[in-house]
Amino acid sequence: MSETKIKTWTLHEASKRLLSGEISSRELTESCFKRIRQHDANLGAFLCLTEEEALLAADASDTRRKAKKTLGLLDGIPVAVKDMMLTKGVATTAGSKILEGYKPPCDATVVTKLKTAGAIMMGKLNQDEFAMGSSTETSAYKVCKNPWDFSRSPGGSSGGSAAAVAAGFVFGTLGTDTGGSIRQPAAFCGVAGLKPTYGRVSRQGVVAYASSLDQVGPFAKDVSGTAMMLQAIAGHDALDSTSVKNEVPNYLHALTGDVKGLKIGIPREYFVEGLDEEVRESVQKSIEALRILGAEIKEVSLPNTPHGIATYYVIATAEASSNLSRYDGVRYGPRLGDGSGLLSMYEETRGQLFGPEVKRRILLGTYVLSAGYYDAYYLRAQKVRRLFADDFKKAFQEVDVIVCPTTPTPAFRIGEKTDDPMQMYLNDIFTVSVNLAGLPGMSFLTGFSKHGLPLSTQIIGRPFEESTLMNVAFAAEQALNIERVLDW
Amino acid sequence: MVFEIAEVRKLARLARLSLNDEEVKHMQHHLGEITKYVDSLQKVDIEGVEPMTHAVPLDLSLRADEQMPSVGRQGLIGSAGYEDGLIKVPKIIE
Repeated sequence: MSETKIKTWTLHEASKRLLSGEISSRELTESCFKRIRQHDANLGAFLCLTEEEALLAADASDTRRKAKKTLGLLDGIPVAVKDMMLTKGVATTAGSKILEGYKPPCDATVVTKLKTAGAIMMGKLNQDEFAMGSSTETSAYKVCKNPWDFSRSPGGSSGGSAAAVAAGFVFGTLGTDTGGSIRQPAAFCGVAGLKPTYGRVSRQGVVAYASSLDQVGPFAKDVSGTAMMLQAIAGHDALDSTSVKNEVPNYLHALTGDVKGLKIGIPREYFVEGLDEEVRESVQKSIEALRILGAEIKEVSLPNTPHGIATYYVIATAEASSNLSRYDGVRYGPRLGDGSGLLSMYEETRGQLFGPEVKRRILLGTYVLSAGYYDAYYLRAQKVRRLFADDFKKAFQEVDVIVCPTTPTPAFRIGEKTDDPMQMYLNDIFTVSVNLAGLPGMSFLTGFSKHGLPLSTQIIGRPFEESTLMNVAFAAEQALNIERVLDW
Repeated sequence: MVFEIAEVRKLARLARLSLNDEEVKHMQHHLGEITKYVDSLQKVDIEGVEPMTHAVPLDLSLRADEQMPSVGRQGLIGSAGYEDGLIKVPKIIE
């Protein structure tokens, strides 16, 4: 089986070939590692590889298959997770120097679930430091590039997760999404990425950034791949009190492509000045495709959209400043300071091992929570957050899903926005509202720009209706049938 | 909002971050820019709106009081990499 062919397979296609016996998990896994070794020095998607464990797991999968005891569709499939997720005995850094060398004593629940489903863990993926960024440039280890154009960013913060799938290194990955960190890199890299409803997936063992917004979700080349990955990770976890007990439906069965009579909302506030013309056209094409398939298209209003970034940066930084107080040089990673006292140990460890963006957000979070400013910033932002939830509630009384752009532009150049934090933050304008309201949202490929960059569309759904929104994305994906061929 | 150097240093102290002079100047500029942007929230009408603290309404759920497997003391201390089964810190009381 040629490696060039395997790189184009979707998760579903790889799974089918394992099932038919056309390829073994060991062959598939070795082929993926070969491609990673050839290209990842240039791409920068992985922070670490776990080849030995992966090959052992692949052999175990093949043995199960021979004994007709296969664990399901993910059994034997090479996957990888963002470095935010704890992996027992395998370095977990969250892209930060402050966790360099840290080897967790346990797996995150989502990692356990992937392993239980028989998936082959290939390694840990590059990301913005503590998921704070939209370009993977704040990673303390290396820059990750966009597989479609190495001068451009893969997006972030889950840039490695999106790039690894787009590059054909693995068939599915996990990322985290606090303000768009799954959907935006999925859009930039032309893959499917889903941020589930808050509470749908366990966050136990996932490094916390902003706890009331963070959610784990899957990436795959296409929508059906994300459905297969979500199936493996969704559900209540007794170890995470914010995960909910709602039943987990069969996501793959929900992908019928039938959208007849479904009401689709187009939020007028998302089609504004600053939206790239090619992105606009691509989203419109997918709306048109859904209309032809029998969906009813309706304009809706989400009037608070312009306040999204401001609300997000108050709430997220406040929660981050609290969450990141645990990195003090005592329990994890390296310790700095001259040994003269606790204060210098804290200040030196944190001051030297956190990167500039993380320090900026900790300071902003400390400021908005400090005496005299709490009401004006934090409390006010929490109230505006309620308005976002109300906007969506109102819209979802009239429509079943919302279709809109994921990002204002296709992938920007590496280095283009690093000197201006505000410009970087504004890139998340179409994704943050979903986190504030706790809704599910996904991005999927709907075209290519004239420069060969992926163009994507976002679908937003009602809480816990991932099936519906994935089916809408699936229907549009089938109708548009965009060909994706990397030339390397 | 314009930040004074002393304010940035105070915040850094509260957050337990050592910053050099150049970093303080950078942060002063960026925090000013960001808070100026965030100040747009002051114009939003929030009269009578309840704050939203979480995305989904959460109950305080208690699990059964049973012993469960855990990584244990050694697992946790081992990950910190210190000696004699203890985590050592610099002197706290003079």
